Parts: sequence; structure tokens; C-alpha cells
Amino acid sequence: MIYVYALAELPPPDVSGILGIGDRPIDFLTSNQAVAIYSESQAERISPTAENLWRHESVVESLLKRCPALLPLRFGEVLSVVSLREILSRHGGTVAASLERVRDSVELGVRILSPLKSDMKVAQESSKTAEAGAFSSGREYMCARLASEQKMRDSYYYFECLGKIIHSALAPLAQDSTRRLHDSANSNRGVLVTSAYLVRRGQIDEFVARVRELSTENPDVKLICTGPWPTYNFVPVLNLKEPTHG
Amino acid sequence: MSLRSDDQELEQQVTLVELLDRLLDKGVVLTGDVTLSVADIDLIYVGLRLLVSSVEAVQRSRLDNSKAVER
Repeated sequence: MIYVYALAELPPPDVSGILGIGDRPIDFLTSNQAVAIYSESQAERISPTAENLWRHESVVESLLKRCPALLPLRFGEVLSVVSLREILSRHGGTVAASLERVRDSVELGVRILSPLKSDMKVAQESSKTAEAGAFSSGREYMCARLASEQKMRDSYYYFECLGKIIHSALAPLAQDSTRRLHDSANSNRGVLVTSAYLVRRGQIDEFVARVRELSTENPDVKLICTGPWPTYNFVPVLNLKEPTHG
Repeated sequence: MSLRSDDQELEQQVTLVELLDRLLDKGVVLTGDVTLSVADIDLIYVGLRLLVSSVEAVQRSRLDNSKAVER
């Protein structure tokens, strides 16, 4: 069995000096359109321990420095050499097109968080409405509760609009992007939006500078930009089911 | 430019969450197994609190060269 870290373009990259999970040496397998970088695995399942996770990421990041185009694999992909060859053969065109798409590019992550001050204010208001003893009647309690919930909804809508404005400013600086809105009422730590942007290596500084500007222009939210990452969010979805024959 | 310590801690935590989200829920899938995530990042974050703690404890020094970009 082999543990696969990433797919890259031909010719195979220099993998000297890179050690995989369990300190196993890195090797590669080539098809007619792509290269799969892997290390041997004794186990069919690799546990997501801290050490293994960091080693996976370390290998992928090392490859990112050596490969103009790289598709990182999800953690834990263990399969046989035969299966891997079959997948590369069947999906060679898709993989090649995806490598072309991410060539000379990296991924930058942007998270928009609601400020703690606003979170606490909303929480305080919500807790007040929950103190039934503070109201002289049930009607008064219900009115206060409705008002509090309306404030929360209005606040969420406001932050949602801010998120759209920020995204519209960043998207032109990227080749592609993904964006996920979170329900702030249920999310941990007030994460409003999670985004990923596919950015040319030569445009990283410009993108980061724009994030800084947007952070200054929008003091009601907190922007955190991380990266550069390998392009985890911009990989092909491979249909792994065997084609049926009628 | 130095950040306040609470901002630094927040950025380190977010960076860890970003890393785990990518490793466990993104990237090319070859085996077709059920992904570890179920709904969204919040579930991942909550489900992996212990792992995040252990990762943070082991890799705090690595984060000195943090991937978090300064604001």
C-alpha cells in the first residue's frame, strides 16, 4: 500500500531530502499525464495524529516549492499501486486540466470574524431576556425576547452584507474563489465567512495588501488572512465509481 | 509590526483550524471514503478541540514562522 500526498505535472520533481509519514522516503509514480508523489505505508489507515498531520502538510509544502503545479491530496489517502495507476489512467485528462488551472498559483484563506464586542453585547441582551423575573408580565418578556432576536437577525444581515462587499473587493485579484457563510447564531467563535482564493504567486503581495486595506475600512469585523497554502480548495472531484456497462 | 498577544493567539488558532480544515476535508480524494467532516467548519472545530490542543502544544515553535499574515 502507498500513502499519496499530491499529484504533479511531468517531469517528476526532485524529492530528495523529503521524508514522509513515519520518516519513510518519498517516491513517485508516473502516468502519461501526471505524477503521483507517495511513500510506502504498512497500514491501510493512517491516524490523524498531530505528528502525521504535520508531516503530511510538510511534505506537500516542500513539493509546492519544487513544483509549478501541484494538487494536494486529502490526508489519509492510502491505496494500492494498481488502484492508483487505474485512477490516473481513467482521470488523466481531468487531472491534467486541474494542474494547468493551479499552475504558478497558491491558495490564500480569508476568514471574517464578528468582533467579540458585538458578540458580548448580543449575548448580554439575550441573557437579559431569559431572566423572566426581570419582567412584570409574560407579554413584556415575549416582546423583549422578540426584540432581542430581531437585533440578532439584523446584525447577522449586516455582517452578511459586509462579507459580500469584502469578497467583491478580493475576487478580482484571484483566479477563483470559494466562499461559505456561517450561521453566526450557531457558529463557534463568531466566524461569519470562510473563503479561499486561488492567487497567482506574483500577486500574493497585492492580495494581502488589499486584505489589510479592507480590514482598516471595515472595523466592525476582524479579517484573518492565512497562507500561502497548497491549493486544497481547488482540486478536481474524481468520480471513482466504476463506469457501468449496459 | 508586532501584534497584541490576544490577536496573535487568535491568528494562531485560526491558522490551525485552517490547516485541519484543509487536510481533513479538502484536497484530492482517491479512495472515495466518507469524509471526516459532516456539516461545516464549526463541527470540525468542535470535534477536533482535543486534537487542536495537542497540535498547538507540539507545534507552537513552528508557528513562530506562522503562516498567518499580519494585519
